[in-house]
Amino acid sequence: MGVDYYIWAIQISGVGTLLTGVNFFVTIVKMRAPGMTWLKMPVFTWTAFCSSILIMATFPVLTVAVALLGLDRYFGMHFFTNDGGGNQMLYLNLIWAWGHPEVYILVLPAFGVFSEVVPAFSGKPLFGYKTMVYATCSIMVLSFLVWVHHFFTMGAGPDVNAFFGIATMIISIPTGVKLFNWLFTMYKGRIQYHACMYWAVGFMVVFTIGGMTGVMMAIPGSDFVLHNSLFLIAHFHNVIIGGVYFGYVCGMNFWAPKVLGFKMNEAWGIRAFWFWLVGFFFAFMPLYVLGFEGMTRRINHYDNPAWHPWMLIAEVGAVLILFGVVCQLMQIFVSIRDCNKPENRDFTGDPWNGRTLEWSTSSPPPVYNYAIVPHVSSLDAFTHDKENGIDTRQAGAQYEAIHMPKNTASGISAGAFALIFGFAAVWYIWWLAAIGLVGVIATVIARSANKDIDYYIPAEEVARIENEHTRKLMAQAAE
Amino acid sequence: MKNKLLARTARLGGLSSALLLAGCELDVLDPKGPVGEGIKTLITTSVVAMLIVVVPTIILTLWFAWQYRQSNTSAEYLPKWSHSNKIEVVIWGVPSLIILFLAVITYQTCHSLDPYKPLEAESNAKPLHVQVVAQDWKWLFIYPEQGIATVNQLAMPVNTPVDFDITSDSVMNSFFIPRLGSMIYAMAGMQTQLHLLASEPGDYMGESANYSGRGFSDMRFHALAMSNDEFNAWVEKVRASSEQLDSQTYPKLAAPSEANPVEYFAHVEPGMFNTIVAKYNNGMVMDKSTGKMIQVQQSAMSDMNMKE
Amino acid sequence: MLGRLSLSAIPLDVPILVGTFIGVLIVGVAVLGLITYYGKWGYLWKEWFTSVDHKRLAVMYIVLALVALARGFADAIMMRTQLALAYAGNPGYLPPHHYDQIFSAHGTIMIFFLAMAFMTGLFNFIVPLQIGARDVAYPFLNNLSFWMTAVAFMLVNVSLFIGEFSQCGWLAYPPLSEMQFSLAWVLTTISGRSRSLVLARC
Repeated sequence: MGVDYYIWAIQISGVGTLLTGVNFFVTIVKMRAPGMTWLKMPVFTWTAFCSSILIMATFPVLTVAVALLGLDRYFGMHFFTNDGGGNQMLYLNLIWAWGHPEVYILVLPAFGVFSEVVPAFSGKPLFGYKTMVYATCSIMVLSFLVWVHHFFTMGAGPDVNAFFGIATMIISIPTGVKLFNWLFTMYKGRIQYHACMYWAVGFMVVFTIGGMTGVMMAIPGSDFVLHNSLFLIAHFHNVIIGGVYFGYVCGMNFWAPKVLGFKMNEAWGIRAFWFWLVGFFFAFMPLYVLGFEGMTRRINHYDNPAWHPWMLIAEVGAVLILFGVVCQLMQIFVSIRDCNKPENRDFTGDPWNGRTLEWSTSSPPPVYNYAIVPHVSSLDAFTHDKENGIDTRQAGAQYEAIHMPKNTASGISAGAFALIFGFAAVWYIWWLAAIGLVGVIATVIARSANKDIDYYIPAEEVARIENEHTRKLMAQAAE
Repeated sequence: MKNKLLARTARLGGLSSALLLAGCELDVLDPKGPVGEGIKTLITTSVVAMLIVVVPTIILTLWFAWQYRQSNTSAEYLPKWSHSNKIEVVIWGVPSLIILFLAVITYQTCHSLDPYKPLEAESNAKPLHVQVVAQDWKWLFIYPEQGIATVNQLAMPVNTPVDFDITSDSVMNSFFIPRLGSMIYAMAGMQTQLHLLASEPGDYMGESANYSGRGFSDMRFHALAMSNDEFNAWVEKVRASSEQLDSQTYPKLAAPSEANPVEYFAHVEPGMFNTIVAKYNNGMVMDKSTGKMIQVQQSAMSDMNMKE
Repeated sequence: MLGRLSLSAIPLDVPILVGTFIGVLIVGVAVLGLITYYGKWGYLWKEWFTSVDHKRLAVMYIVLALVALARGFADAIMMRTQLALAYAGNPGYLPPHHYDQIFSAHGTIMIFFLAMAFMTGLFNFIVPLQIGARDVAYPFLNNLSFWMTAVAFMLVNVSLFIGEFSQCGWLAYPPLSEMQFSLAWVLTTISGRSRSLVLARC
């Protein structure tokens, strides 16, 4: 039943992820502020857009692969068993046709975060914005063409392996260009070292190493000895921790004041960074060595005396990362505890001298985000407005009633039924599974039939909220 | 010309990696056969080529991060500067050239290091043929020409090419001897091929490089490379065993076991390997020489299927 | 009536899991108790659980991601500790049956519930604000997506205490993930072999 837990967890969360992909794709295509043409769109939005496309294109593949595995398990079919005409390599192809784009789904938004953070703290626009967009898009396309590099060792012919190996390496070109773009964004800037900038610079160093080991494994000949070894484990943690995780934490530190209205604690944030960085090197550099020593992944115990010292160093690294995690929790705790201190509160809505629209509204933003939908006339729209003395908020304008969606219990209800369904299906409790499934469908139908899903915020209420924020801004400016 | 360049960078790479890794014993970078040697050259060459970009990138990152810190007011500050065609050309051009170089050696080595390509020994020794079966959780080695079989011990004469046919009688595994070079998956109902050669005598660790369940960690074997005479003596030693491997005794061997000791079988039923492949392939097996599917004798197979 | 579910599915013989369960129980009761004590249920329900506001969902996604980080990292450090110990005849403290579930869960949780949730959290945090929109295109679907992700993570964690998680790695490669190999394990459990193995190694 263990695999069944896996199957249903993947399928249920897959529904959520696919809907997220669709949601953000449509949001970005249809709901951009007037004037925000494609090439005036901030890079984080670009990466979210490419990620959403990848989600829409690949999560159905995951759903199908896991569903076929489920059919094998529940109904004795033979999609992936060799007896009966199936083939296990079919599953490997399907799962990696999702799995490889998936790593780009994760890392592109992290690249997007750095593309916002590095310019903001370097006091300069992003170097090579267009290059960044083209690089992002080409990575998105290329990510579909490389999945076989996860199983070069299945015994495919040399030309097949060469194709997928070279396609994989080509991705490193736009990725490298991105790194150089951040580098030249820092060049001749005035870099302020807030916690998020630490994560950004740490990322640039760590990710470069991970990129190099990735290209090493992309060469089929090298992969024949490195595949499934701890070298592989070191490589993907190198890019997932150093790229994805550093990026997301960087983004959380950067945008927390916007969403929460207060800055996160700097000291604990920086401590967390150093523990994570040093811990990362201790935990994963030994794994590269162990890979060269022929140690494979997923081993439970071993006898080779050469491996043991490296495993001990890796353990030290894991403990250092533990301190890093504890520091992050402390950071969150201290930030919430001190959230009302004046130096942490963000009254202006623009604590970092930000460049993009989100910094033009109050922190936290009102439920409707923008009382007057802003007009965009250039890249880095908010910087443009600040430099030209334009009030992006258009404070004091004639406010109108704002149409907003109502909260709903349908989501949590469908989720609860999905949980019941998943649990029942794992244990073959079919009557309960039927209740769960019918519950999900009924909830969605009921929601679709519900006409009471929206409301208007009256213009007076909007004016009250906006004037309050204007008053705060004035008070801040007067100090 | 390309090869000359390759050889030169490889020498440089070999030197630097030797310096870097002096002192620790790295199986993969201290190979005992030509396949491993070829891979080692490939790894060092590619790493050196990439370091051309990687090292400057890391140095520039740290340098810029320090030089342009806010407190260093003497550093130049260009708050509007965000584009330079010259830099764009370099940051696209240099990585592209390196990837072009790597693509060329990738294509070459995909062919030269193709695991399916037979090896040639300097001594013109006749290749040894070994059939490998991954089981739960041990390795069965069948020597069809010698008519013997062993479990968890693989012997081979040095400087003799070894042709492996690999399959699995259970889940997927990967057949790997780090000191000798490439690994290849072992998959039920399918045969994969691998060609290796040991150029030095020794006892090399062999393992499964693809997780296969509970007993995976102990799924190790000894790969013994020895002189011709020693190999012949070893074959005789196996032949002296009282055990036989046929459709009667096979199911007992194939039953799951963990940390299985070395076993010898003095005699192995001919066609055993094909029977195992055919079990998962509707009674068919691919003939290696023609690429055609052929039917395997029914009796032997049904015999083996019956006995769980 | 209960399908394959029976009392034997609860791993009372694995002290680590019993300890974890007690820990989760204490923390869970404490959190629920505090919410009740401060009378925050209505607030949570009205302002957060049922919210379709992308900013609220963003925060919930990131809280989910951090909980997943705690679980996934606990798995990671357990694995590293096992490999620091399990050397030269020492079996370590995690028998394969438990260890194999841990690395499978680690990968699954870190990718699907830490990374994906964190990423979706950041999308929600900022994309609508950055493009000057008042919310996402489908606010209800956004809330539904969150709950689907959250309950899937709960399902993975239920497997800690009722039954077991996959032992096939984070991508569940067949044929290892096929029923015939899962059944082989069930049979050995029933015959008591695996259980005694667990005891012998602990």
